[in-house]
Amino acid sequence: MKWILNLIKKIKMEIAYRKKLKKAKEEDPFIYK
Amino acid sequence: MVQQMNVKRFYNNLPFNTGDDTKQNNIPWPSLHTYLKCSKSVTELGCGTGWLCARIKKQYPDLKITGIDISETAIEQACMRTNDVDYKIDNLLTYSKKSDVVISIGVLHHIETNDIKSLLHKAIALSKKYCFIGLYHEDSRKAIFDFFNNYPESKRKALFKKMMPHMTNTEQRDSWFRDQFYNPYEQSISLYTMKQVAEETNTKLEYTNINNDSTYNNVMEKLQTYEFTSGFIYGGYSK
Repeated sequence: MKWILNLIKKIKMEIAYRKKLKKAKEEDPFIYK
Repeated sequence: MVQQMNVKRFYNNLPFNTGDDTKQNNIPWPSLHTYLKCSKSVTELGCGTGWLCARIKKQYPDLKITGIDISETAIEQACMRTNDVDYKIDNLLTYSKKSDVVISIGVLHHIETNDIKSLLHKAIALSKKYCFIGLYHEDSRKAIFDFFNNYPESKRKALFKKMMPHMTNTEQRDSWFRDQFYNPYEQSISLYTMKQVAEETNTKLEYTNINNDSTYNNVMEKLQTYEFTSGFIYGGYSK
């Protein structure tokens, strides 16, 4: 059961990442956030 | 002194933020601009490869800008960036020349001392008008290490690459990765301590990028969607 929850969590992380990927690619690579 | 030699060797081996600068017009701190506009001289303590000094010079060509760093390799790369900045190999612990604005971003926390406040005092004392500091924040760094410790060491570099889609230069990304996780020494600070320093130096902490010291959850939330943050606190001290 735990592995299903972990998989769902990972999929959610990946979706959130994909959503902001375009914007993230345009960030300034020299500045600390 | 032994530790300082380690740090010097570390940055001589591969300076932080090496590579061509593709966003030369970006200086993303309005409070810093406010003081750059009305100043004659700027010093960056720990300028590294000189990217920030070069950006400031590009936007404020009349400013006299000095960048100092302990690493010969970093200063060599800085000198290749522009001739219009006075880049020097020097140690900020013994440096004594004052200027209107002093900047130090991501540097003081790599100097081994039990009293990071004394380093802030030193930087502030070198400024005539404004001192802009960037340091690791305690709570934010804790979140970063907790997050990365969930992954085996062999997978962390690939994870970091995924989190830095804007950093296409491999050498630059490597310089960040080792700086973040393999630096010979780092410490961190709180907003509370930065406020204390303002009181002790009779300055005003005019700008900070965070409002309180409880940043753990915010940082962890970003990391959990693969958005990297270095866990910085920025502070601007005016006189």
